[in-house]
Amino acid sequence: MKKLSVPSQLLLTVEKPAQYIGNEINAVMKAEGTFSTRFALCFPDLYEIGMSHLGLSILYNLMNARKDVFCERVFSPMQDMESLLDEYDIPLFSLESQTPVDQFDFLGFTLQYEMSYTNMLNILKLSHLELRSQHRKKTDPIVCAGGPCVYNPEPIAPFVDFFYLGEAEAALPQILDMYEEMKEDASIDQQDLKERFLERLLDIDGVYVPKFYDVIYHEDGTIKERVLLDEKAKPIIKKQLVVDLNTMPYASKPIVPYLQPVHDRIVLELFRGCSRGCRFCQAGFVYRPVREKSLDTLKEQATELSTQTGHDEISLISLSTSDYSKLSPLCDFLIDDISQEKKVNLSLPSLRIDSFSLELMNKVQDVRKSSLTFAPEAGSQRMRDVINKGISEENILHGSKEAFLGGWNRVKLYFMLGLPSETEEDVLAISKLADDIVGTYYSLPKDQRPKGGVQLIVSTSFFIPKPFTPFQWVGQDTYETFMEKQKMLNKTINKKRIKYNSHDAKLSMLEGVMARGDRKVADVIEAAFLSGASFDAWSEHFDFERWQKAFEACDIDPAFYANRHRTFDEILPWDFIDIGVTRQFLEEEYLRSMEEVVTPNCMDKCMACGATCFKGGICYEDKN
Amino acid sequence: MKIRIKFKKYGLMKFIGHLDFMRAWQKFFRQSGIPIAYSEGFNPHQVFSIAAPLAVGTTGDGEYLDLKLSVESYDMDQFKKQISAALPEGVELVDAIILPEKAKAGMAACYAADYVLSLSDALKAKINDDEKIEAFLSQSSIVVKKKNKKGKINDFDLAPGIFAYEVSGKSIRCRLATGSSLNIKPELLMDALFDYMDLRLEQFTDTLFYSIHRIDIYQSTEPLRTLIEFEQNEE
Repeated sequence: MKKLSVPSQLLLTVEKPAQYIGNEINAVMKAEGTFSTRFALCFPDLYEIGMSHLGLSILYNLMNARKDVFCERVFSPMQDMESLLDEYDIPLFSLESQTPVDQFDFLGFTLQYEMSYTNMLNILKLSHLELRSQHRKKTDPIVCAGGPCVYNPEPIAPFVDFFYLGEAEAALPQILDMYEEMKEDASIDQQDLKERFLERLLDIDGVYVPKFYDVIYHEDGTIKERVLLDEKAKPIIKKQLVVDLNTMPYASKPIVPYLQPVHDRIVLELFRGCSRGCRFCQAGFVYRPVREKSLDTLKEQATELSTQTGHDEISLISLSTSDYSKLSPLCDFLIDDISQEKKVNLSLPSLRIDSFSLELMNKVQDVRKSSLTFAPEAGSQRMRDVINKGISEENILHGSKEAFLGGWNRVKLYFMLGLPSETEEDVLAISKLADDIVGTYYSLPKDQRPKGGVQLIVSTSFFIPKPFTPFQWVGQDTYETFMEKQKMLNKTINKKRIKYNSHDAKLSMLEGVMARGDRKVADVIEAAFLSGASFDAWSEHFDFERWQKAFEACDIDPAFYANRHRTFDEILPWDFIDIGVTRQFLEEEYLRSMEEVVTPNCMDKCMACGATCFKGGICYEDKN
Repeated sequence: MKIRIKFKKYGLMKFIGHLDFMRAWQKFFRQSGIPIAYSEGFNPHQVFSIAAPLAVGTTGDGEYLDLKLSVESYDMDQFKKQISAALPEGVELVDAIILPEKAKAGMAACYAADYVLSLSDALKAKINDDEKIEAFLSQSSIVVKKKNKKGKINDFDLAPGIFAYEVSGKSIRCRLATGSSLNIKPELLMDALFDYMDLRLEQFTDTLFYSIHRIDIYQSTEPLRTLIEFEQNEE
C-alpha cells in the first residue's frame, strides 16, 4: 500500500476519505525516476465535481501518455479535511503519489467558473505557496491556468505565472517539450529555470505570461494602454485549437471513481464549437469553429470506452448535441451495438425538441417518462431575436404539443432575466409563454394527452454579460433591478400549474464583476479570500458581506465592472486575446441585436466572423 | 448457476464504503466479461450480493459475494482467471465455488466472524492491562446504547454475541456474532471497552487509534465452517 499524506487513522475521521487516496480504476501511477516532470492538475472544487469534468480527464490522459511527465490530480479538500491539514500541518498533496503540491514542477488549474477563483487561492494557501506570483520562490512550482474563464485572465493575472488560451491538445505538448529540454540543459541554473522558462514561453502561441505586461489606466478607471515589458512579449495572444478531432488523442481510459461523482458515466464528446451564435453565450464564440468527430471515430471510441470503464451508462456531450450531423446513425449504433449488446444505457442530453428527438427519446427511455427540457432563454419573440436564439414561439408550442402527444407531461423551461434591452413586457412574456404551454396541453383531446395534468417548471437565472460575446459592452442589471423583475414575474406566474424556481441575484452580480474585471479586481478577490471566502459557488458557503467589505477595503466599485455600459472605443481588459472571431464581428452583432435582427447560423450561411483563420472545421466544409 | 466468491479487501480499498464498493463490483464484472445475470424489468441490474458489508476502515481476508450467471455451466478456472484479471489492487480473489443447490444465500448464512483489533502503541499504553480487558470481555452482560433503524436508542447487550476472545500484546482477537439475527459490530465493542476503562476516545488522533481486520466469516462454529465450506449432505 502506498504511503498516504494523511495517515489512515486520521483519514478515517473525515467525510468520504476515498476522495483523498487516488488509486481508482484507470488512475495512473508512475514509479519515481521513470519521469522527469511532475504536473499537478487541479480542478479547484470538490473531487465529486472535478471528477465529472471531461476536460480534466482529457488533460490527465494527454500528459500521462508521455513517458517524461507524471500528471497527478489535486482537488479542493472538504472543510473537515482542511481543518485536519491545518491541525497537523500537512501540506496539500496530489492523489496519485501523495506528494505535496509545492514539490511539483507545475501546478495547473482548470478554471470553469469565476466563483472558483477563491478556491484556487485556497489551493495555493493549503499548498503552503504564496498567492501572488511575485512573492513565490524561484523554485516553487510554475502556476498556470486554462479553461473558459481565462479568456479574461486579468482578474487573476497576479496569481498565475502563465495562462494557456485554447485547447490543450494543440500546444501543451510543445510547452512540455520545451520545459523538458530546459530542465536537462546543463547551461541553465536550475534555480533560474522558472524565470528562464517564462521568458521562453513568449515564443509560444497561445501563452500569456502576465508579468511581461503592465496596464495603464485613465483617470476614470478605464484602460489607457497595455505596455509590453519585454521586447518579445506579443501584443496579441492567439487562442490555440485542434483542427482535426479525429486524429487527436482522446481519454480512452478515463478514471472510474469509487466515490460516486456527480456524473458517473461514460461521456462521448461529439464535436467542439457551436454554430448557433446565441449572443449571450461565450462558449458559442470562444470555441469556434465547429469541428466534428466522424461517425467512425465515435463508434470506435464508444466501444473502447465501454470496455475500458465498466460504466453502465453512456452520455453524449457537446454544446448543442442536436446539431451533430450524424446524430441519427450514431444513436442507432449506440442503441443497437452498445446499449443492447453491452448493457450500457444511452442517456440523452437535452435535445432540441422535434419529431426526431422525441422518437429517439421514446427508443431509449423507459416507461417512466422523465421530464423534457426547453431553453427558450427569453419569453418574447422580440427578446429571443435580440439574443439570436433561433427558436420561435411556434417551435416551442409545437414541440410541447409533440411532447404531450408522446406521453410527457413534465416540462422544464429555462429563461434569463436582465437580457439587454429587456422591458417589463418581455419579462411578463415568460409567464405568458408558460401559460400557453399549459394551454397547449389542455387543448388536446383527453384521450391523446398524458393523464395526471401537466407539470411545468419555470427557472430563471440572471444574465451575466461575458467577454467575447456581442454583449460584452452591455451594463448588467443592478441587484435591485434583477430582484424587481423576478418579483414581478413571480407575481404573474400561474402557480396552479406552474412551479417557479427563482434565485438571489447577489452571486450573479459578483460573477458579473469577475467575468469582465481587470487586474484591479485581483485585489478584491485576494481580500475576500483572506477574510474567509471560499467555495463561493456553493450557496451554503457564499457570504456576500465578505465581498462587500473587500470591495470597500480595496476602494473598488463593483458597479464599474458589472453595471457600466462600455462604448466601442473603450479598450476592454481582454482585447489582447484573439479568439479568431473578430471584435468587428462582435460589434456588428451587437448592433444587429439592438435592431432585433437575427443572424443565420454557420450551417446556413457564413457571416465571416473570423474563425476561418483556423483553416478547418465547418468553415471549410462543402465549400471547396 | 450461482457462484460464491471468497475475496480479500485490503490496503487502500478499506476506505471505500459498502455502497461504493458494490458499484465498483458492477464495473469489475463488466470488465471481466463473465456472463453475469441481469434482473428482469426496465432497469436491469446485475444479480449479486455481498454476505456481510465491511465498515469503512476495516479490512478483510475472508469476504464473500454471491452472484448469478446467465448460463447453466461455466468453467470455474476460466471464471477465476477473468475475475482476477478485472480486480484492482486492494481486492483479491481467494476462491470461487459453484454454490450447492440447498445452500442459503450468503447474507442469511452468516453466523460468526473472527476479528483482530490492533491497538496503536499509545492506545495500548493507555490501557496496558490485559487482565482488565479480559475481565471486560468475560462479563455476563455488556449493555450499550444502540440506535435502531428508526433512530430510536435502545439498550443492547453485546455479551451473548461474543463467542470467543484472546488478548495478547497489542491485539484483541475475538469471534463475534455476525448476521441478521445477532450482529456485533467490533466498533461497538471497542466503545464499550473504552467506557469500561473510563477512557474518552471520541475520535482517532494520529497516535490514539486501533484498526479492525476481519479474518473470516463462518456459517457455523461447531464445526467451524466458513461460507464456502459445506457439509456432505449440502453438496
